[in-house]
Parts: sequence; structure tokens; C-alpha cells
Amino acid sequence: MKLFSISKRNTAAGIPDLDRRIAWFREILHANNAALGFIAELQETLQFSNPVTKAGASRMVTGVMVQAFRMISNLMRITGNEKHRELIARFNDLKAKISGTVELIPALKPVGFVLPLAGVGPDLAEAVGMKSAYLGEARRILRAHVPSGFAITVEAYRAFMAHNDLGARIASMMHGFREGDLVSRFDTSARLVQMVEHAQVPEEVSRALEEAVAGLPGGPDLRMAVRSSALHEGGHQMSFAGQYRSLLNVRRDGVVDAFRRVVASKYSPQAMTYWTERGFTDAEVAMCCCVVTMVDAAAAGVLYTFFPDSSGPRTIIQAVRGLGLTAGDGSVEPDTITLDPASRKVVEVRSGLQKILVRSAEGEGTEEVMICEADRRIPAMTPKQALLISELAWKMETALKRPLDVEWAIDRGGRAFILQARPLYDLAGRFGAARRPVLEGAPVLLHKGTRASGGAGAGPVCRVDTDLDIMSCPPGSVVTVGEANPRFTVLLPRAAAIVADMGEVTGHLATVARELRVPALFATRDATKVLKTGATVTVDADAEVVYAGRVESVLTDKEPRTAVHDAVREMLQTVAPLIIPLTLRDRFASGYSPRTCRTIHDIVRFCHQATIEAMFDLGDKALRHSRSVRKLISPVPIDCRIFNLGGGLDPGKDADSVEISDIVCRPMRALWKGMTDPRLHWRQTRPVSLRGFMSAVVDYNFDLDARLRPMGEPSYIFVTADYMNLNSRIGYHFSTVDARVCDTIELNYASFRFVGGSTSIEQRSRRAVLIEHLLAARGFETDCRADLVNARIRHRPPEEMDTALFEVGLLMAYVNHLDMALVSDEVTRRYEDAFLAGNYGFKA
Amino acid sequence: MADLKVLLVDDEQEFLEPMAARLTRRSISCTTAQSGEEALRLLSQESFDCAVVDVRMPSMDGLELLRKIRKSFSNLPVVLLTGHASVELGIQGMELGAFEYLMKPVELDELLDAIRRAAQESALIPDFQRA
Repeated sequence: MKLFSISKRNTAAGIPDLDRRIAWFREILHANNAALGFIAELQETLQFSNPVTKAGASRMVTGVMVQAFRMISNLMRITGNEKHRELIARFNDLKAKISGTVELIPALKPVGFVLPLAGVGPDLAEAVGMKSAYLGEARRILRAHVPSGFAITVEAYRAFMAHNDLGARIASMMHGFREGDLVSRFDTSARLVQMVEHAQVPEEVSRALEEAVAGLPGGPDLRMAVRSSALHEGGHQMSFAGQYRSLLNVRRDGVVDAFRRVVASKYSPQAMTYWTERGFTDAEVAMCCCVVTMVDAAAAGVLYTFFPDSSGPRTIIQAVRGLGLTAGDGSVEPDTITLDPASRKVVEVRSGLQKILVRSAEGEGTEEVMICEADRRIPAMTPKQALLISELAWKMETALKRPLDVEWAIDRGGRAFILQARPLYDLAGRFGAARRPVLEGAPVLLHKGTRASGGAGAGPVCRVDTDLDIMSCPPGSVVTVGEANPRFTVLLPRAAAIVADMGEVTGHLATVARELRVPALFATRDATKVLKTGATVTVDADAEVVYAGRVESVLTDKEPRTAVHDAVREMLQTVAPLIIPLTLRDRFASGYSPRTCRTIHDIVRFCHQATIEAMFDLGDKALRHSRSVRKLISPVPIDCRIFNLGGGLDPGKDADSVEISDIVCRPMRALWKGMTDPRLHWRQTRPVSLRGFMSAVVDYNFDLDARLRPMGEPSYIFVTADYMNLNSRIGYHFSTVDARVCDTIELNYASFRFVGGSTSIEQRSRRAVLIEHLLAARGFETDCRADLVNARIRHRPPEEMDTALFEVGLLMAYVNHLDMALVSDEVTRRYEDAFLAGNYGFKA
Repeated sequence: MADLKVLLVDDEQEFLEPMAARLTRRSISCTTAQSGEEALRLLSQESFDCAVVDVRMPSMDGLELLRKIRKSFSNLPVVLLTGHASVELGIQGMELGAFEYLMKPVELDELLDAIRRAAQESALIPDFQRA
């Protein structure tokens, strides 16, 4: 780490030196605020399982690291020396560990609107989305077995969105979506889809698409498949399970319009439910596309290279005749072929029932064709063909070193193609615990079907079939459906469980149920008949059974259902111990040195403390002679040191200690008026004389819990005539007040930060919320995260600023003892009400 | 409040224009540049109180521009602004002498505050060497 060179001039010149120190000091305070804010945000994210994206996580981690670094830099400028060099070493140590874990976002060089598939791989996933990235890789590995094509990039998507100012128009509707009920969600979704489908594709983009299409081999009648390849920023472990649209059998001149329609599918009800539940904002989901030559499929389907089975790891294929659109949408029962990847043999063939077949239509698009009764059980593929497809998939799995979810097709000539390949995320984990036995004696309504997603849930049965049913289905229901159709994903966030007559575990609805951790039981044959609407039932997917009524014992060991970005959360959990905990304790405890800083929070605290001490360094002759530092005598039992930056104290008074009446600083006088208000509890400890003060201080000490060392550190207050900066510590409560009050309204502000406490995080957080509510009631802008609260008021006339600071003083005194009393939210509210009523001596 | 002259450097037009407009409404005199080269040219023609620079730009990236600014316009404080948070780049920027490192989306007040602090500090310390 490079050091900066410090101008060595003017230590003797007094004022300029002090001015510079003050400027750096204020930067350190600012950085301290910012760093603690990021730490609180991290804490809150992990504590309360807030959804977090990769971008959000990077932001918090980068924020705290850079601000900590700024504190170290500025501290070294102030002290001008090598004394804190060790801090740099400690910081670099931590940085190496943290940076190594937080994946850096690779430099995104512009790639253009279109990229040929041959030129695309997983390293370009951020430019083209996962599907295109992996398909490009598949083409490299399997060559002719992957149809040729090109990727439409995130730049094309953004150009399209920007061209129509869609981003801003959509953003204004997103809040409505999140807060709304199902009916309004459907409405918002419909409007968004309309908006996008009618938007204009910018000329540069359509030109690029047309050129790319022209470059594809094949005659004028070439047909293409235009598929979504969405980019969910930071979503590594996302299944992308059929939430977006794929358009098949598209003509050459139809690609531009197809692109627009695939982008619009980002706003379908099920797609929006999917990415909003996973915690993404609109801006974080980019709709790229993958355009490939259409395969005229005689048979198609999906394949999982890895599938946990009681007899060991298996490769599982699901096959249908015709185009594979029906393979995952629950409308047909596909053939299932199971293979043993070790011996490379087919071990089981289970034939399905196919009533409908999808094929390319004459003009454009696809059409459904009924299959006559006699032909419904014709196998979609031979075991030999199954092996052919599997070989391709295994080859890719080996090359990519991870299990894959593959879409495949076999054309009329018998040639095998891979249409899609993506990492298969942890099925074993998502299936949940090992299968459970049926509970003895519990009333069983239904004991069949296959676990599609683990866990258990209970609620009233709600039979869902039409869109109207979807919209009127109450939250907390056990949803029953005939087909496991992906359009039912919109119900998942609020459903207790979902039970389907048909449906496959590899299908779209099952995959999303697993991601959102909703218990799901499929292929039950007749759940829709057996389970009566309105009756309360308990679905135990792990036991593959449905009980009548609520069976508590099965419901109790549920994992909390949170929609999380697992990879991102895991990353945060890995770096959190290096950032969040404060292991440095008391300034005066042994071992308080840079060497004992174990976390970034330690470094931040150490720098803050060291800075203040440096500013107050009485070894500095210049300062000592200037009488800048005085001790404050006041009824408030805090050891206060005042640093006069100029004009803050009555120049006539020259003693080592000052009283409040000697303070000229306007904001400080207002604050102290509040803190010493006669109605406050503190009055009991008012000292009569200096000796009295000292004993009052001592008494206060012993009143508190013996674990605390409250008086270890004095509180520092910097003053001028109209500016104050207070850093106060009482026990483990830290308060900062930074304020300016003068006759110029635009310059006036008062900022207040309060953090910490000695009790549990719940109680500290309650106190922060209490402070937030009370200050907001007084007109402050507030912001509260975990046990940290920030409040600010500004640009008011001086009299209003005085009143605001007075209120802050009252509040600081009021909350001083409070965190041990805030045992519940109810009690907290009573303390809030008491304060608002002026009852400052209230005890619940 | 005194008018501050700020140079805003970002390759994304969609960011540059609205941000410049917002800053102007808050009495900041704002000049925009879409590349490092354009920025350096403008800096040689007029004086500014602060430069706000995007870290990632196609031809000359923000850190490269920062290096050049520290060399030729050492009094000018630089606030780095990035759409992609990166610990390494952020700290590198600080080591190279940037005043602050902000991440998009940035609140207008946060940016304004950083600009004011930067201008104040460099006015106070005219020939302070940072790197």
C-alpha cells in the first residue's frame, strides 16, 4: 500500500496547521459515520434475512472497506507519522481475505448488441445472460450438436429500454406491484407487458439483429427459436425455470419483434413474482436473448445429469414427442428414462401419457395437436436415443465440471441436439430432509404422489384452475391444482403448500417451489377430488402425505421461509466475522492497539478514538498554550472535554474548567438546556460543588452494572460560536451530535447519531426505533438500521434549530438508562408515549 | 452559497445529463465530459473546484484519469463515482489521491455534500500532496 507524502511544513505556524487537522478530522468523522452505517446495514441484512443481491452486498462491503481506509489515511495525516503503520498491515490482511471472497465484478467492456454463439462462454454471462453463455460453451464442446445462432446482449436490452424511457416509467409502477394484492399485480403486469410490446426497438439494435439473422446459414425460409436468457445480477443459484418466454418457429423477418416480446415476458405475472420474490429490483434483471436455428423436433425434453435417487446418483430424462414446450409445463405426462451415469446404461423406462403434441405451425409459431387415444403411449424415444443424448450431456458435464440441466431435441432425421444447458443447482439440498415416515395415528387423507419440494405446510384447501381462481385464492392456502402449470407460480409466495394431480419434479413449477421453499406434492392423481375446498389440511411433502387438520408436530421443524440469494448470503456470512464484530473493548483495557484489531469494525473504532486523542493531544505545546481544551462542569454526569476551535467559549474565562454559562456555542447551549431540563431523571445526581460533582460521578459509576466501564472514556465536544461536534460515550452507548446554528438558514443543520448499548441486539434495536419515532415526530429526517439511528434536521431558522437541539438533549437524557427496560415492543411504545406527553420520569 | 464549478465525467449520457441538471438546480455550475480525454482538455481550459469521475469508462478509465489529474492539476480534488462497487478499485483510487469514493445510485445530497467537502478541504490546503 502506497503511502502519501505529507507536507512537513508549518508545525509552528499554529493556525494553518490546526485548520488542516480540523479538515482531516471532519473527514474522519464523516468516514466513521459512513463506515458504521455500512456495518449496521450488513448486520441488519444478515440478522433479519433481508433479501440481498450481489450488487447490494458488494456495495456494503466496498463501502465499509473504503471508508475504513479513508479513516486510516486521514489519521496518518493528522498524526503525520509512522505511529499507526501497524493499522495498515492489519487492514491489508483483512482486505486480502475479504476481497478474495467478494467476487470482483469483471470489467465489462462493451461487446455490441449481438454476439455469435461461437464467441460466447460463461465468462460473458454478464453480457449475455446464463443461457446464452452456457449454450455458447456447449457449442464449443459439442459443435454440430448445438444449433448455430447468436446472443442478443444486455447492451441491446438496455438500449431498447432507454430508447423508450421504459426504465423510469416502469420504476414508478414497481412499488405498486410489490405492495399490491394479486389482482393489482395482474393488472400492473398486464400494463407493463403492453408497454413493452408496443415500444419501439431502436434502429441500431434492429439493424444489428437483422444483420445477425442474415448471417445465419440456411435459406430464406430458415426458422429460429428466440429464447430468453435473463441476467439476474448476482443470482448464481437461480434456476431460471421457465419463467420467461421462448418463441419458436420464428421467421427471419420476425426476429426483431420476437426480441421485443421476449423482453415483455419479463413482466408476466409469474416472471415478476419470481424475480421480485427473489429480491431483485427491475434494474437488476436484464432480458437478453438467445437466437438459434430451429430444430424440427420429433422428440424433445429435459435431462438432469445428476438426480439423487434412493439407489444412487442417476441421470434422468423426460421426453415428449414433438416440440419440448410441454415437457415442463405439467400438461402431459412425459416418458421418464433413468440412466446410471457410472455404467452408462439405461436402468428404467417409465412411459407417460401424451394427449397433446406441439409442432411448428404453417405460418409462424407453434400449434397443439391432439393425439388419438391409441397413440398416447407411443414412446417418445428409444433407449438408444436416450443414451445418445446422455452421452452429449455427460461430455458437457465433465467439461464444465458441474451437474447440468439440459434441454434436448431429436430431429426427424434422428440427429441429437442440445438446445440449452445450465448449471443444475443443488437438488439434494432443495429436496430437503430425508423422507419422513407417516405419523402414527394421524388422520391421513392422501398418501401418494411425489415430493417436488420439501417441508410441510398447513392451511385451508383452495382449488385453483382458472385465472379467476388464482386471483381469489386467499393467502396461506394449501393450493390444489390439476396440472402443475407454471402460471401457478404467482401463488407460491403466499401459499402454505401446493398439491397437484399431475406434474413432474423436473418441471418449472416444482423448480420454483423448491427455490421459494414452498412444500409441494405432485403426481397425486386425484388430490383435487380428495381434498375438499375450505377444509384445513397439513401437507407433509417429505412423507408424501396429506393429513386432515393441522398436525403441529410435523409443522414445527420448518425452516424459515425466506427468499434468499444463497450464494450471495453465504459470501456475506463468510466476510461478516471479519467486518462486523467489535472485539476491541475498553480503551484502557490491556491490548488496545492496532495489533489487536481483528476486524474492520475494530479498525474503525480504533481510528476514531485515536483521532480524537490526537486532536486533544496535550503533549502538543501549541495546543496546551492555546487553552483550547477545558473540562466541563455540569449537572450531566458525563465527563466532558471541550475543545474550543475558536469563539466557542467566553474569552474572559480562563480556568481549566468551564461551566455551561461560559459556553458561547449556540447549539451546545440549546442541547444542554435539554439535557439538564428539571423534569428529567438526571436531576437527582446534580452536584453542588466540584467535590459534589466528583462524588456524583463516582455514584453514577457504581449505579450501573458492574460489567460496564462507563467512565473509562471522556466525551469530547468541539465548539465554535455556532458549531458543535459532540462525541459522547456512556457505557456502550455512543452518541454523536453535529450541528451548526447561525443566522443564515441554509447553513443550519443538526445531525444526530446514536448507536450501541449494553443489552441484547433486540433491546438495542428497540431503543433505536424509539429514538427514531420520537425524533421523526419532532420533524427530523430519520434512518434506522439495527441498533443505529441517524437523524437530521436542517435549513431552519435559528430559533427552530434551538428547539430541535433542546429536544435532542431531552431525548439523550431520557434514553440513557432505557435499553434495559425495553423488554417488549409494547413497553417500548409506552415509553414513546410517555416522552411525547412530557412524562420524562416515566417508568413502565 | 458560493457557486462551485464542477466537472462531471461519465461515459453514460443517461447518467450525465440528468445529474448535471440536478446539480445545476442546486447552484452548482456543472460542465460535463464523456471521456477522460475530453475531461483533460476541459481542465486545461478552465479551472474547477471539483471533478466527479466515473471509475469505469471505455477508453481511459477513471483511475487512469485520476492519475493524470493528480499529476497535472494537483489542486483539483476528485470524487470517484462508480456503478460497480469494487474493494480493490476503491482503495486504489484512495491511494492515488481521490478525495472520496461514492457508489451509484447516489443520492443527490450525498454527492453535493462530498463536492462541498472536497472543495472546502482543497481550498484550505492549496498545495497538499496526496500521492
